[in-house]
Amino acid sequence: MTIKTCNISRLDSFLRNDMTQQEEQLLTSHLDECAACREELEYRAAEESFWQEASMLLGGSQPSSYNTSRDFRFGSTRSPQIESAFKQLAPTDDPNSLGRIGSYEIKGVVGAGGMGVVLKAQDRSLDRIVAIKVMSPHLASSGAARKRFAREAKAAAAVLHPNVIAIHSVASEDSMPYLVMPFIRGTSLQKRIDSHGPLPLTDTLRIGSQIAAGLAAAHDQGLVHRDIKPANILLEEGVERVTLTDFGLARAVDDASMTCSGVIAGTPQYMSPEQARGKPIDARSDLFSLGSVLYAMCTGRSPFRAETTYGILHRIANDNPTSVCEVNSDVPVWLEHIIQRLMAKHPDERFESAAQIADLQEKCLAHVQQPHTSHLPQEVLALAPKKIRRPPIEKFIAAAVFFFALALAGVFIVLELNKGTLTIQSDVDDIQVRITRGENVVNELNVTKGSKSVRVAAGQYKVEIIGKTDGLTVENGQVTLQRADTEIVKITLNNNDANLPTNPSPTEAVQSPSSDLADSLALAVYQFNDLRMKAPLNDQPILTKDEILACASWNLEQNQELTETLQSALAKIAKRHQWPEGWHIEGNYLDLPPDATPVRAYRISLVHATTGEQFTIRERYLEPPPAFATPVLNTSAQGMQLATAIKRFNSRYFQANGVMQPPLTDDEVVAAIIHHRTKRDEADVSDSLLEKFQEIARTRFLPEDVSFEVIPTFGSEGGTTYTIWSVRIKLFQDEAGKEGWTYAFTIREQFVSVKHGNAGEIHWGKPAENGLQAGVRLAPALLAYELGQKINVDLCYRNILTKPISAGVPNFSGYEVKAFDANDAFMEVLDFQEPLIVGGARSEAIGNEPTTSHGLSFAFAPTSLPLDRRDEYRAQTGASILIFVEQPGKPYRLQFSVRNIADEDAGNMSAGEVEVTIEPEVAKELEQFLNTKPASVGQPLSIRDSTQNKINAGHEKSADVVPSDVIYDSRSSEASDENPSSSQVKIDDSFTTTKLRTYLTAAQSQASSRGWVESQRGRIVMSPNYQFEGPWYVAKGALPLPKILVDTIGIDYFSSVKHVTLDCEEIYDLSKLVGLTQVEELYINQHVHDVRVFDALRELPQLKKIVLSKWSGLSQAEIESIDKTLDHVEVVQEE
Amino acid sequence: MTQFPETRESLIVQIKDPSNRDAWGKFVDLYRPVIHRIALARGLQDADAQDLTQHVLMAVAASIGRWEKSTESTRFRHWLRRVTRNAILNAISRRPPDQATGTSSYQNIVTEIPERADHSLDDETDSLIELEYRRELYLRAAAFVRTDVDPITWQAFERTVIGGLSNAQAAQELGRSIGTIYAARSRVMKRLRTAIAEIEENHQ
Repeated sequence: MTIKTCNISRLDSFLRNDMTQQEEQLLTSHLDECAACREELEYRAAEESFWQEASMLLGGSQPSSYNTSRDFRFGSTRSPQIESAFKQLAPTDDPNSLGRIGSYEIKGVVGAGGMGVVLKAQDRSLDRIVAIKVMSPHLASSGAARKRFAREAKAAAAVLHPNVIAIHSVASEDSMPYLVMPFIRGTSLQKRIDSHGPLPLTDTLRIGSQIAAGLAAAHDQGLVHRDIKPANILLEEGVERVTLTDFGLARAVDDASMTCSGVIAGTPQYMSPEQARGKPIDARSDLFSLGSVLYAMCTGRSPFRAETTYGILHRIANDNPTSVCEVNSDVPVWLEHIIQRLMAKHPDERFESAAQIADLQEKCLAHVQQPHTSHLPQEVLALAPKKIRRPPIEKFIAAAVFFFALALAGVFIVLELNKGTLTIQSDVDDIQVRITRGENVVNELNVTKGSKSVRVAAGQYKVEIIGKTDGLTVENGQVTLQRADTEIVKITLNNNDANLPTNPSPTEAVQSPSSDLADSLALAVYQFNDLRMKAPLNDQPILTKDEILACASWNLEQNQELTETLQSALAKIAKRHQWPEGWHIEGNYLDLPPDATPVRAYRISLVHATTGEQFTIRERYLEPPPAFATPVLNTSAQGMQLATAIKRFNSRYFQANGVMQPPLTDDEVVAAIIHHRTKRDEADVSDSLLEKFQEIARTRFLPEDVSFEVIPTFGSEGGTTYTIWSVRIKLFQDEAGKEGWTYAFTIREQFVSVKHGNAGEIHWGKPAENGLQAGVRLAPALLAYELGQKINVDLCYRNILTKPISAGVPNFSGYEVKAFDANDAFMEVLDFQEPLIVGGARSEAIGNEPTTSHGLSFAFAPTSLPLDRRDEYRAQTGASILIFVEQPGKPYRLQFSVRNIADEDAGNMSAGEVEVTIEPEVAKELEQFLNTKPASVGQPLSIRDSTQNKINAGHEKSADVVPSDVIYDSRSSEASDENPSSSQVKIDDSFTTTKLRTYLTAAQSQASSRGWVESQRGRIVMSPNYQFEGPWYVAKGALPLPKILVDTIGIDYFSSVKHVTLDCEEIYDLSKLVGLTQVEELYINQHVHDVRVFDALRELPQLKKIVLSKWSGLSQAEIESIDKTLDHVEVVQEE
Repeated sequence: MTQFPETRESLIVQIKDPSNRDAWGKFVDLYRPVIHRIALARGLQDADAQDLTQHVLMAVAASIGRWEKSTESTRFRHWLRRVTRNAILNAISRRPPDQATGTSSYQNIVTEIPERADHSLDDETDSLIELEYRRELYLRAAAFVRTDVDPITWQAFERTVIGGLSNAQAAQELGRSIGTIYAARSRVMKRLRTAIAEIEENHQ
């Protein structure tokens, strides 16, 4: 019995040894008959080169001279493609020849590609070696493809340029169309990149400019290459010459394959977006591909990588590739700018011509080789500030999800099949949700109460709420969507009431400690929103931290009329991201102005508790006076109903920098216009014009020359960008002397966000060999920092390779920082961090998406600071590291390096460089500090609550401790190691935030100066010196956190903690761990009072292991009883 | 399918540990024939070639601790290639070969490039080392695969690919159908390839 049909997949199972004996027999019989399958089988077993090598190396034959060029010798088998080309060869008399094409004797095979085979041949008439490209038979059978082949080949032959392969002759009428070209001994750029990785800068520029020169010559002839990629760029051996091959041939392939199989042939990695979309292309498409090739030379990899052809095309059309400098920090920024410009999504944004870019790169090369005599060309420098913008977000989404899919539907049938449905269910109304896949935003939705579905391609998605998320939880926020699957993501409202302090006095609540553990600003915002949510009227968008930051920064920069107190309060918010003491937030409904025809408005303000001073953060017009509720009919004028105009406006404009804005309403606009009357004095307009606006309010009818406009972003000279949703109404002034001018005023102004320079972005370092890349980000992100300001550091890790690498990501990362001034002089750094980092670690598979770890904070200090007071100063700033600077007002470079968390042996790696500026004015706090007398050093650390000093007699020294007495001293902490003391703090409602801050600062100083913990073991430790009565939580950073604090900021803040170590003197109660739902391992280093305390741990779903120290004092039977109480938890006692 | 006992940790890392005799044994096992064949190919007498092999291995042993994989391109193989090349060039350029070489100069060959280094010889040695390394890979993989398939299957492969018979001839000689020969040699080839990939991975 034989099988008649061929089945390729059977060949693979056979090779994998996946077949039953019977199946194998069937296949063998089929192979007896079917030559095609035999060839296919061999090809699938190993490529031609392997067969070749095996024959040569195992045969023991020593080639007479081992030739490094890529000529093939022939074994008994070849790839089917080559084989079929060989079948077409004419017989020959020459014993050294394999066959003949025309007058050419075939000597070997150079390679095989998508459109045919390249043979090495001897031109007998001229006795020279040539390369012959033979069109594949399956392409040759398409008449259109043959014609195209001939036409394009003739066009290519017309291009005479040293960087373009010459065409000796074309034969298109034969049964096998072919081209004759010079034989070039050398390698392709692709092979060069594969074997050597990124090319040196000079090579990149030299090769790049030659490619561009070749392209320029072709473009002059009206010929578009269409398939510029490293494999089509030959590097001639010995000489520094680059040759472009395969001109215009891709087109012939398109003709043949698009029609018959619906699949784009070849690798699309270097295609332009317009090619990927199947749109018409011109010479500028080649420029994009050239950019991609430069990218590959700089980084060693193609810019757009994905597992499927569709994935690549999608990325080409929609994504910006990872920055070249991020991948390879050796690449100068100006080259990145050139590449970015070439790879602009829209052809109009690219360079004008290949000639221009060839010239540019040559000049750049001259600059690199002789930096002193040749300057970087002006055009290149001019590129720098011109940041290539991402496609606008709306366009981006539309193109990504819907439009693009339709445009290619005919070509990529797989696309529709590959989709699934993602449904988002929400308990809450009007939530903005962002769906991301990897680093890319796939969609942004406004979800109303109920559910909303999107159709998206299969893959891994992350669903998150944009902006304010307090009180909301995204369940199943990370989804993997299978083909044709339906996944549901739920957004639920938390019941926060249980965790709230029972009597939230806003003033007290917002004065939270200025520690990074409690974000006092977020806290203030949270409290405000929470209070407001309980209010009956709730139609205003919630307040966000970003809004306050933007408002405070803007007013500090723009508003000349701030009082001194207000200025310092806003500075505290904008620069320190901390809440100013004495202020709170109020939200009010009010009438503006309080006169005969007041308009209703809502206002959020900062209010000073004692002086009553107020500052408006947001003001929103709500409704006009009742008299204006019904419009007066207007029939005469030309224009449209106000309602219609507003509807149109709302449909076009609804978000600012990704943050959804509530729609404009008729009432709001009318109220704004009416209120504008009160500003008559400020407005430089005629009465009649003003009256025209009032007419709009009365009639709710918009004349033709009046329109709405929105200005979403404002830049300032210093480099700060504000997103302020500013909606204005605009009228053309046609009065004498004002022709062509417009008059406009604001209807709504909503601060959305602010971005100061780029300190808040992740600054990536050079990737390590294992693919790990570390980056650094500063918080708060500012243009300039004050002396003594505590600056938090986030360390981010990602992996530039496609395969995730596993690593132990510490919750707190140690790092090394070096500081340089503008002259590259090294600045002194006083580093108090110990090599052992407190804080625990989580095991993660690191992919392309960054994962973040907290670094210890630092602060800048003046070099004038006396040596003996530096430690004290640092303790006051709350930072772990001090960087000493000489010249405030000048920029400094900070270079960070971290341990390679995925490879213990790899040593330190760079984690990026950040440039920061120090404010020229000396901060008040610093002055104050320098004016106070040095605190006495050497006094043991002790913290007590003045009202509740108790316990541990013998160690008690004084009854009342004022905060200034609490200092940190390393010597005394050493001493206390030998002679452990235990200061106890009673935490209750009388424990005010001031005391809490004092405590935290001191405890943190000690925590960071003593390596209680090995980070490798991932522990979180509670200090033996601190034990709390009353409820407490173990938190990040080795600080036991009083319940009062945890309650205010929410246990969720710590919920990612996986390993907890308890070092208390004695364990009485473990219920305080409940809430740390991610805890997997618990280390108990001390005596356990009663075995029943473990009952509470049943509430920890992830708990897998408990390790008891030998001092636990528990008997074997007791340990077994724990084991019984806690199912699935392993209980171990250390020997 | 783990065909080779080496762990994921590369052999090179293992031999940096002087107490790991097992790893060193494996290393010598793989590279001794490579170096020896290169020396022979460079025109050394068998005894001199053996000597030279010994020198190179000693030089490697002495300096492997200092070898650091600093970038992706500095593979151990490239480093070894340089060591071997230096040793050979030393041996060739200093006649009588190697007589005065003391222990200290074994280490010199790791870093020292002879002054009279002939550039073309350099390149040739390079490609020769590459070739011999590949050969050793194939030989070892073949030795392994051979024990793992049935004799007829191996024969089909050996006679056609190594022996140069056509498939039809082999079918006749072995008394099997032509399909069987194709199937057999393809399967051996596939396994050979997998084995080579695995060895290579273990020795990077």
